[in-house]
Amino acid sequence: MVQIYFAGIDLGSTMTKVVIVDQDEEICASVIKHTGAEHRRLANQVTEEALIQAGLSFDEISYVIATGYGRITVPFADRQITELTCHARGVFHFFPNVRLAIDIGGQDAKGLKIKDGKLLDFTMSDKCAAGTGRFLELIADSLGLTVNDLGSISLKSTNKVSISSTCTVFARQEVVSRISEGVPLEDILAGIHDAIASRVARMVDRLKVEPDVLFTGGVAKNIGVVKALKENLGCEVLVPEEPLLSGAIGAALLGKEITLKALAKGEPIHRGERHLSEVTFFQ
Amino acid sequence: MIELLKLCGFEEQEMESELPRVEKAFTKLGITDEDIERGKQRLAKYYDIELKGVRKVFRLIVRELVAALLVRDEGKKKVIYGFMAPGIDMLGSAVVTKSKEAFVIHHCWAFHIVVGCIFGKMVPILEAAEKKWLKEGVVAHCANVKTLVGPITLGLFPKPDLLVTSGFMCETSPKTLDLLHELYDIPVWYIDTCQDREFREYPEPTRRIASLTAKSLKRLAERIQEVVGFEITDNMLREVQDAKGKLGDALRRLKDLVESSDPLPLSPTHDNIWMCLSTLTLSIDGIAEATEAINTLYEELRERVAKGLGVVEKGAPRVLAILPAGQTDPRLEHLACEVGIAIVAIDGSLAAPFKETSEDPYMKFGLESQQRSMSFPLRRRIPLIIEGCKKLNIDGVLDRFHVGCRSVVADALIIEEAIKKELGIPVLLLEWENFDPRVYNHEQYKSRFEVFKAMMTKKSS
Amino acid sequence: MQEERLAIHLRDRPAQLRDLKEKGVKIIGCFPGNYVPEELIYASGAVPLCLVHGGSPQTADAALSVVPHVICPFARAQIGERLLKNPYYSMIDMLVAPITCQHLKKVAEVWEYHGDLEIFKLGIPHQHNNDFELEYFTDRLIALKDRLQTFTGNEITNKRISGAIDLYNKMRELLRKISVIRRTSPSLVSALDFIKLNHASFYADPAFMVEILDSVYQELKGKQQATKTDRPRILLVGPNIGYGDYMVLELVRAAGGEIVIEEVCEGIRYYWNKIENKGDLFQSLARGYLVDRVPCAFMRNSAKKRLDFTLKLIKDFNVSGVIWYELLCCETYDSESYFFTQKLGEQNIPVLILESDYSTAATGQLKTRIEAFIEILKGGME
Repeated sequence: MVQIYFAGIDLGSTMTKVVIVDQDEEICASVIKHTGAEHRRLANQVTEEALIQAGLSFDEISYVIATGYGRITVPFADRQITELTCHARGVFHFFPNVRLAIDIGGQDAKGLKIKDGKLLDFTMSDKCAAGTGRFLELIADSLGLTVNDLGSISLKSTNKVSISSTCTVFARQEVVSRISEGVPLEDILAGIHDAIASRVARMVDRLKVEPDVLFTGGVAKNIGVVKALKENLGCEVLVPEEPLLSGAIGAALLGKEITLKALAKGEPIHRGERHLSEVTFFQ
Repeated sequence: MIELLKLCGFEEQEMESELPRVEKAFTKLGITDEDIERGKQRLAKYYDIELKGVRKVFRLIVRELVAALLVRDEGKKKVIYGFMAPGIDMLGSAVVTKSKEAFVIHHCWAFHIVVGCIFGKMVPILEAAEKKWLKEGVVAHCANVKTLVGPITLGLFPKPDLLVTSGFMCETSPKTLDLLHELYDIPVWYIDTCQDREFREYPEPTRRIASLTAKSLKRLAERIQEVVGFEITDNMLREVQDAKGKLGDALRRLKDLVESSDPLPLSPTHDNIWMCLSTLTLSIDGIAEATEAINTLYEELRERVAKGLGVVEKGAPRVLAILPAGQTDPRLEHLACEVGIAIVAIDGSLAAPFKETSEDPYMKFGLESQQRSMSFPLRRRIPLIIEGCKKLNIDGVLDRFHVGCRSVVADALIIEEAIKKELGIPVLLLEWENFDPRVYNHEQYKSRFEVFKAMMTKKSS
Repeated sequence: MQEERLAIHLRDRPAQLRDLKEKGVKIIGCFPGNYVPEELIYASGAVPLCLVHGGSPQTADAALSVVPHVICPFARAQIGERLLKNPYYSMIDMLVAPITCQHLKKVAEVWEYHGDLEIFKLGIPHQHNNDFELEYFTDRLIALKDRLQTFTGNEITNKRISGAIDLYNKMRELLRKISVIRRTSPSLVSALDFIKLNHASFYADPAFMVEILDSVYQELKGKQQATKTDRPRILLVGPNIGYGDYMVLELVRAAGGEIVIEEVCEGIRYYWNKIENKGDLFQSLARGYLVDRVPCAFMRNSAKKRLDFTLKLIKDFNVSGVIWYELLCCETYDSESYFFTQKLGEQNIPVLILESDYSTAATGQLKTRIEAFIEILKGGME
């Protein structure tokens, strides 16, 4: 049996992720790099890195699906699918019983209602910083900390304070006031995590919270938010080992589905015209 | 708890009967000992509770809320809630005067003052409503409807036999009730008028609209009669209107004293307390008690004025505030006092000059509702405000415009421009939420108030 | 062919209106929502214009010097168009302002405040369970007629009203017939085509428009045949689609969906019903415009009525998903969206809620949501 491979490229606003899988759904390669202004153009380089990791050439990839914010501009993809659909498929790979996936990234937050890997419904919050990774960045910034510090410090809290969850600007000011009042840092951070978690819990409420509930995206690495999310949702929340890769994995797996379906029907695989080159905004 | 009740004007001799009721009601609300402590502090800080009149008013408000929470426990067979429904206070008062088995409450105000202003516990209520369908953030719905949906979804209030609202000012409240009816199976009713007043009809009232309002209210009365099982006669209503008229006169006299005294003798945090008092569905005796409380307060304030006592310094800049005071949070008005600004009046107390009335109590209501500042189209509301500013010797206008209110928010920029042009006095525009305590930015508001004060002081010197 | 004729007519319309104005004909505008009987304006000999421009962030933002951002973008667009001297908006001699929702009511009040336009406020009772409400509206229609007579100097006879009703009934019927073609042949008339036709009818000369619609319908009727489409069939629900607010329509088409029918409160003439052209014409108009129709969201108890109508449309047009399009800050539609998603969810009908404040910066976000929705309707990846 000839091995066939599929690639998924998730070109997010903060991070670019590339995953290559084979027909047994084993992950042959995975790469995560910062997108940045420069790197959006250079998604092909990230892909090349993944190919090297897998020991493959570009032509050996049967199907390439691009997803994420920058999906439209990837010239070497056969197809583009939204990160919502890809994500649903990706989390299903590790958690077959997933019914609700919550993804909090750098600039947006999403809730996905899933069954058997299929996306049934979704909510998105992408208009303002509150409830996203950006919220935590701004708070960390005003405290002279890095985002990675926040989680572990907050877990020490025994008496979290209540911080407004409606607006980042207000929340920031509240934090500053509390500091000057002498409130312990861990209590403030616990309050911050509670704020973001309660906001997200409100966002997903209409999707019906039922197990398994998954938490992905960059912010899922923050154990403080994980804890707060469990409290706000009132149930167990699972976090994949690598919470950033679900979109790319899903994209690759969907590529596999499309390919195998076409093969089963005896139809040609509809590939786009693709060459591994720099992403460009000009046609 | 006893101390808190005393601060709210409860007498020693009624503690035995009242205390268990209050405790039972507050337990339903989830009020803890911590909350009680906070409540005492907030009362002392934000309100002039050393004045007996103020305490007496709080007592009426607390008792109304307690009665509403215990309504099924205390065996009321028929319960009607009004929410943002001017006119239901009149009908409700008639009902509770006649019968001990029926109860009507004008839901919102007492709830706001006790849970929001006193205990500062409005936020979980709002969040419960936001969990359902009401938005938060920049495009939020008026938080007022959140204070209705929150308690209903939390099960704080028992299901009423009828829930009533009006579309007099906006669509948010009626639409909310539409959903409550469809999703929670609560019987609802709407009273409506039409907002097609043209400016050229001023200063006459628009009789066709007054008549429509009257008919709508009469239909509500008929519906209420069906629920409670007895007739609400015109005479009953006239009695209520008489009693309320006396209360209104007493309040007017009080406000005149406050407006004309320097230094400002009473904190503007009480503005929404009066509004609440006017709309409670008290029995005729209750209304008389309220009138007495206001008269007591009047005498106490006269003493203050005679002694030159006040809550801001003498000569403080005089400010007219647009829209009522914070309904669930007294901090903004309090801050104004701290900074040294005297909010002497709100535009809601400015009224049209016509005094037409009617023998028919419904038509009387219809005509009176046309006198309020906000029932005028913009082209007539602005001259009314400008005349008010001249009459009251206003140094500056505070337009804390309530972003959730689609009805009034659009006027803000035009009011600002007109006042600056006509009167040349400073106008402070403050984006704000009348019912949501989360929208309060102390540092920002303080610095803006200070600048505002400086502008007004500079102007007059 | 008809498209061309119509395009030329609309291109020349402002100049045509200027000519008419010089000859002393009045141009009388109104707002959409189908609560203002344009028949009365037509019967007075004036030119009726339904002001419905929208979709442009520039005009909506231009209004921010007058009203804060919390007013819906369609209402702000009306203010903006007049500020920026859109010819139609500048040319009207009078505005008949339906007092519907708070946002449009405010537009009328702002223009009334500036005092440079004759305004008649047509009060719409927000409920009509009681006789006195319908009576009120009927009286106001008569008052409107009186004001129009005075303003134009022409007598508005019953005969003229009847003639106008006849003409507008024809227009409604033709629009309905064209719309319903999409039941069987959705690819013959795209949603964008249909909505553009409808929008044209707000600005074009009514008699000319009826002629065009008739030709269009005859043309389409000939081509009509049941066609299959693998594009998911979608129902669009919304408050109003402004003339120019086409982004969502274009995005849906580009993402592979097909909107086969709309339930849009203000962007579309309620072509579903006719006005009875006999007896007391004012009562007929009042009944037709206020009562015998699907209510807009600001009316009392509208949620259930609109839901029932929507469910029927879903069934009749074989719809697999609903796109709910609302404008930011619209409190009535926003509340109802919750109700609709609950009820449609109970019937397993997928709903996508989209919000817009006309800003082009939001295009990417709208695109993602629409694409994901189409992906859901297509069942994932078939």
